[in-house]
Amino acid sequence: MSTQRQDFTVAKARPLPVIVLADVSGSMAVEGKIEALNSATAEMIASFAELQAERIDVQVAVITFGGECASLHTPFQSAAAIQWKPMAAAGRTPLGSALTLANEVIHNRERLPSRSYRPTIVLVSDGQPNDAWTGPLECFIGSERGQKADRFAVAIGADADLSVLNVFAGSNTGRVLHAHEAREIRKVFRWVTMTVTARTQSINPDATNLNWPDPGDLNF
Amino acid sequence: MPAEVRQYVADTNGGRYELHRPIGRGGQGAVYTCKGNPRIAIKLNHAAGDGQSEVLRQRMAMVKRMDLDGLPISRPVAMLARPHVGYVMELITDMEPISRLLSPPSGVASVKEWYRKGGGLRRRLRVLHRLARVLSSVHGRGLVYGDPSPGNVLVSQELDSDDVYLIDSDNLRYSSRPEKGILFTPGYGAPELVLGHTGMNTLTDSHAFAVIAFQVLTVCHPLLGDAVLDGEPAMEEMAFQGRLPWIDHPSDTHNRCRHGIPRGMVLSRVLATTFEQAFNAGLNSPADRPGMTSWAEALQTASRATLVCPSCGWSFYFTGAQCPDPDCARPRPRHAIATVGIWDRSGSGQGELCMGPNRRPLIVGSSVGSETHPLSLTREQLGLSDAKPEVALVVRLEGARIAASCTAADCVMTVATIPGSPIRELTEASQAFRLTSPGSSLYVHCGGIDTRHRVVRISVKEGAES
Repeated sequence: MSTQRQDFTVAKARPLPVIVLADVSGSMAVEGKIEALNSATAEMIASFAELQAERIDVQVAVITFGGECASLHTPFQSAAAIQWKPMAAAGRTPLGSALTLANEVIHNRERLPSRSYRPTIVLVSDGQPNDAWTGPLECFIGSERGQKADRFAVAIGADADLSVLNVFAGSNTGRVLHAHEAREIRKVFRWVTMTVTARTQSINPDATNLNWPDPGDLNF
Repeated sequence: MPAEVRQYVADTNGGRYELHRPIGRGGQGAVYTCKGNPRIAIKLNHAAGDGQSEVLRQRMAMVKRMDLDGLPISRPVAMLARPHVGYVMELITDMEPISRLLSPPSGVASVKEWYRKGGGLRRRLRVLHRLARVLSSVHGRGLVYGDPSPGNVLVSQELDSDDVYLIDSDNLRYSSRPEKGILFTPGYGAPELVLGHTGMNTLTDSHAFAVIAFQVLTVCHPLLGDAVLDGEPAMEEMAFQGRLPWIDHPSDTHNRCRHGIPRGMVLSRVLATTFEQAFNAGLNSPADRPGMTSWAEALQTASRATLVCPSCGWSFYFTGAQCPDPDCARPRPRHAIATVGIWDRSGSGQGELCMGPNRRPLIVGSSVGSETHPLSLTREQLGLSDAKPEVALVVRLEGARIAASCTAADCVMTVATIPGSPIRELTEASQAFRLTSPGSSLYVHCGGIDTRHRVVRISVKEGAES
């Protein structure tokens, strides 16, 4: 089969999706946590926008969960095109709602065609989910793209529910990262940025890498 | 707005630097410009650790001993101090990575306009010729550059300059000491490197160069056709391993690419053949790849055969009857062709260009100029013994007249205004006269008229419109 030539056009870069699931419950409003998360996310997006990977388009979506249900704070778009709007924290921790929305978002074939690289998904939380989350979590991590994703969970402070985050990260390529206080969020996000950047520079960005250095060993 | 990230590094001599912007990223790390000091750049490796640092230190010591005199290659200056792994290198100002010429910024309104603004075909050919020359010299000194990539090759920001400058020289190796190790930039590694069969050598340099050249000229990657671009990511790896046909394969159409600049607009016949050799026979058989000298010659010949359209500024090969930009299509303008050949007196009494077996002149090279873009030849192009790059001959088309100015004291200009008429020696270094075309010619003799010598024949071709 031959396709019609499209002279003077260039091939579209292949999307590499990064999804942030951000806990914006009331507890995030204290101790500078939401401010730290906002600046760390914005910094990560800015780094992706600066990447000069000619064939890869890092696309970012941010889903926030607070109040009564999750919402798509930033729909998938190229990092360079994102006009970052800070998130505000209030209300409950509807993780189940966030995972259900994430499942829809990563499987939207119009936004993310099959030529896309596998996603990197970052779940950030500082507390206990308080909606029905077990079903959505199993569904998400067992889904076609959810199971292939690099799933990183960021536990903020001592109250984060590690049992939930451990299940989310799984035992394969995932990892639970700890930010003991707000200012460590930035370091953890830089580490996530490094893993994505390293994928964009690798021969096979979809290969799974189990040998990421520990965040503590990196120089940022 | 995100808070600005400031990152500092120090070198082992106590110098402290603030990283500014990434110039390019490769397999091992990224190269950054330095805030407040445009004459240096910093290479920062991803991987930390003493082992990495020691390997790099040894490599840099080796590179410092290499003979790079006269080559536009950045030399390492100092190692970074712990905890960073990397080094400080020389940089020259007003250069930008060649990546700017091989893929337009995302969302660019018109790829054609972007191509033209980057200097169009003529400048791309000139820049690539310079790069080929540099790599050819590196190979000539028994060295391998190692990782030619769009981030490691810098080109001048000035459109009328074709200067190039290579950075990231820690990959330089002696070709006599092959090393295994898979350091290359994805997309530019030859299949045998990707598969881990060999280390870097002059032929892997040639492959990377050929990929860069194809991208700069056509704006497509030679191995990434529609089947790869629209397929699953794993297809890309197969393509880089040399397991798919190249996009312009003459018979296997499985990996055609619908994008890019039409090849006929930008590839001369010789260039098309050289790319075919590099990506068909040479893809998995390194010894069949064109070497850097072949590339340099093919690119030089091609760049000298371009004309600039007086209407739209697009540059194209003078063999085309009109500007190939479909939105312009202005007929080819009146132009002068300089043909470099050998003057021979043995045939006729007065001498003429040496003829080959097919009764055509044996041409060493040719160049083209038009009213808007005068023809100029350097001493090197004239084949004068000192081969300096300074301009020695300028030919301008001024209406029906031609004005020639030759500053080389060791050359003589003659003219034969009617084909076959006796040549007349010109006494002035600059003279304007009428050449009745077709057939009348101006000759610049680089040697005594009575001897066998190199000669440049300049003839005028009317535009396609007349």
